[in-house]
Amino acid sequence: MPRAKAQRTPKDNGAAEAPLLELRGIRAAYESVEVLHGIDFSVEAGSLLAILGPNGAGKSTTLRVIAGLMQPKSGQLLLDGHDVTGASADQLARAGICLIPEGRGIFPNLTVRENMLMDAYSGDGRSPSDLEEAAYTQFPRLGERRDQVAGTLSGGEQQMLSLSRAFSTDPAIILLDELSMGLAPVIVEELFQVVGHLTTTGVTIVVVEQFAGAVLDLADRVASNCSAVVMAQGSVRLRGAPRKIKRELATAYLGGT
Amino acid sequence: MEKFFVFLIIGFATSAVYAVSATGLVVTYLTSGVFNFAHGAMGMFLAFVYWELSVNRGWPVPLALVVTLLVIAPLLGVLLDVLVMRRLVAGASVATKLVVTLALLLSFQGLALAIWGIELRTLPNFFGGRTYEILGLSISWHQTITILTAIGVAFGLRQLFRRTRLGVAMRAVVDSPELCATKGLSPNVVTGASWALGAMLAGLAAILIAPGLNLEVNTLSLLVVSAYAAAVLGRLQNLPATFLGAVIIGVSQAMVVAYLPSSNEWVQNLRPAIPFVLLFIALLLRGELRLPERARTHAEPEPPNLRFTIGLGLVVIALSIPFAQWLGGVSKSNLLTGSSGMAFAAITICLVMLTGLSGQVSLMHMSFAGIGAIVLGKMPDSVPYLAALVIAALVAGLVGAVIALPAIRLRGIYLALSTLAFAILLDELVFGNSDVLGGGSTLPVERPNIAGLRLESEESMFVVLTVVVVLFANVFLIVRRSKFGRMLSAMRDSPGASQMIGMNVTAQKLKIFFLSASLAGLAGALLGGLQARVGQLDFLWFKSLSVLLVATIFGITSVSGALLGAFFFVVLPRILSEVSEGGNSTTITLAFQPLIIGLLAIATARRPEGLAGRIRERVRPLMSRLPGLPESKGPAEPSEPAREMAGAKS
Repeated sequence: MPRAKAQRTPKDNGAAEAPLLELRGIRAAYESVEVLHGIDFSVEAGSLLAILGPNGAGKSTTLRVIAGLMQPKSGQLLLDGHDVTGASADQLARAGICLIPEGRGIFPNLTVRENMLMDAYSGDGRSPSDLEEAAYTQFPRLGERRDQVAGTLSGGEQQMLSLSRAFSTDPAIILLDELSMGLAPVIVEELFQVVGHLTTTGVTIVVVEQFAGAVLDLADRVASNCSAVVMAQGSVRLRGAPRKIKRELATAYLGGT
Repeated sequence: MEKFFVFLIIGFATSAVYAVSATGLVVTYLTSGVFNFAHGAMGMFLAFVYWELSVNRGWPVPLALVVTLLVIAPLLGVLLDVLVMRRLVAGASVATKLVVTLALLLSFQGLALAIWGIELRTLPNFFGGRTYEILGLSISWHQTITILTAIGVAFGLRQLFRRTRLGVAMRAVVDSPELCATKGLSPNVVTGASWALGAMLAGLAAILIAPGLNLEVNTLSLLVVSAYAAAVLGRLQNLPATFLGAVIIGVSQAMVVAYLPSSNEWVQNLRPAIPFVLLFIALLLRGELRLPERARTHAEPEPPNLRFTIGLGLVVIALSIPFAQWLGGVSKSNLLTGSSGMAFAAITICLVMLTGLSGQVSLMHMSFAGIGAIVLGKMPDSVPYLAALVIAALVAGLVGAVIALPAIRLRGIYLALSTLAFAILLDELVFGNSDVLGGGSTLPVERPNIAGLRLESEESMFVVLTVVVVLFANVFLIVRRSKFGRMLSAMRDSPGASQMIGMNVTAQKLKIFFLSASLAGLAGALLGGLQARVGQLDFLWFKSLSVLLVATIFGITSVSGALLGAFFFVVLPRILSEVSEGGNSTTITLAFQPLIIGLLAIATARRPEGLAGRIRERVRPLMSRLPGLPESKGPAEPSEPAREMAGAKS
């Protein structure tokens, strides 16, 4: 599987260009219980997509399907125009998909440096020391703790470590799952600023959040090219520009439409 | 003092072997979550391969070593991972993993016997057993190499896990296989590598220790028990502690051999059992449970109501009388096979009660049966038969409870390990002890004689055993339908939650252990009577293992599974000896019986309801048309709340 390009040169960016990521009629089930009933959306290269919705809407499951951690029952997953349905998580990671999972996406018994050594598998040939350098430039605090066991870092630092891969491995698409979960508001604010910084590099981002307000504000702020979808009960209920979504959000959450 | 140093060096050399073996065990356990009971058997198999190459084919030693340890061993490890372990890991319960590796143990033994036969072989020492002297002590080159190898392995593993990307990845997989995948590294690559490493270490340990012993299937497979003890001392996760554990076990074993009096037969019998005693002590010291145990519950068919099962039982008993006469008319040996099938069915139902219902795996049920038989055999003639039978059952039950009491806080692999330790201990200490067996190698056991009613003919034995099976089956079903049975299932699925709602988990575990062991003792007493004489061979630990495995093949959760399994168990050797008539039938039976049972168990272990469950699925819809049977319930459809819960996970 070829690695998807992180950013497109302007020449590539023709109107007929396929979206970087596309989901077509994705259905997925936990054993016999279907939780995604045909999800369709696409993400343009260099854009930000926010997936919103109440608890149990299927947002995280959608991300798991995109990352290859869960195989869809039917439907297609396209990356950079190639059909990658059925590819395993490690193949997709090497193809440029970078999932920052909910909770803490770190190996708690490994040191910070060893955690980064693991990033090298999806680093497109970058050496571990290059990866470390890129990560420490973004998060100097991790540099101070490089030989500390990751499980002993604070919650915010753990999330930084998890997020550092988005900077160091130069992925094509970053999937952020509930970045704010279990963290103090001030740290969430800090992390959202980091994500805001990420968008300026032109990388494609898919964000899943329960707290719709925060993420819509973020999308609005960086607004160059962003959209949002609202999911509920395993289907996409609403899609459009963040501003439009914000107006209709109350209806969406209360089960209208 | 010289004696002390001589034995100290022997102890260190043994420790070195244990350390190599135990680290292999820990590495595979950590990365794949499977505690490999077949680790020793794998090493045994590789030692045989090495013997084949170096001795039988006359290859030079270095070449044979390289081919065995660097080519065949890793291949074997990867093959196991791909064919067996990988299909297991996702969501397999601890009991399933246990059964699969136990089945592998049996398969490796069968395979080695099938290829190399039963004759004893020896493997030469390295450097032909030459020695050198330091400070007046003579030390063999083989011992030196063994100790240096262990040190080399320790150092090499440390470098691997700290310095190399693959080693760090192995540790990362322990933390989260899923996260590894999202970072672009397939966890399969890592577990494959760790199984290859595990196999290499198992083979290395076996090749190092084999020259001191005979190259024999059982000895080498069981040698790993000391490695288990070392691994348990390292809490199955800490490699330096595992090394230290190996030293403690190896040295104390050598010292016990050196200083224990050698006059008394009990002490003599205790010697080979030392590793098992040490294992049990290690379990008690370090066996606290910190392991994440994923409970994966299975659908149980709703039992038919009591009136129906008792009625069915009476019909079966009534039919058994003419059936026994007909079978005896055909041939005596058929009748005997039928009767021992019934006896094993009774023992298997006890196992179903314990393992299927309460989720505790026992590897010593044949030992309970043996205790029952021995107690009955030792009973003076003045005691009436029925009273003697009850006493036999009670003694077996008490032994079960006494063993369960310290082991009860252990679950999963630790409980299985401690029952295995006890089974082997009893093999040596009781069933093979001529004091216990009244001076000979077997003990006569009487047949039922109840209040003047002599039930000693072959036909009446069949009927008596049928009655016992019907009785046990109904006891099991009564337990399952009762509040006690519901508590046991709850405990099996989640011990933590059961404690939280106020259940006394320990008391329930003890009760079911006592009940299961005493019924097994009763069945064993009758089995002894059926055979007329019992000896060590009747209750060997791997018989317990085979019974557990056949029960799993046919369904560890139901009476029908127990019945089918028991009959498979007694009929299989007969089929094998028929098939191999004219050839070397003992070897074929010895080799192929474990091989067939092992492979079948591996193939079916993923479904606890077993083959009987599959047959039931087909038959139930037809049966439900009969009055008096509960409605057939197909594979449980998740209820509405369950759907919502599953949906909420996303």
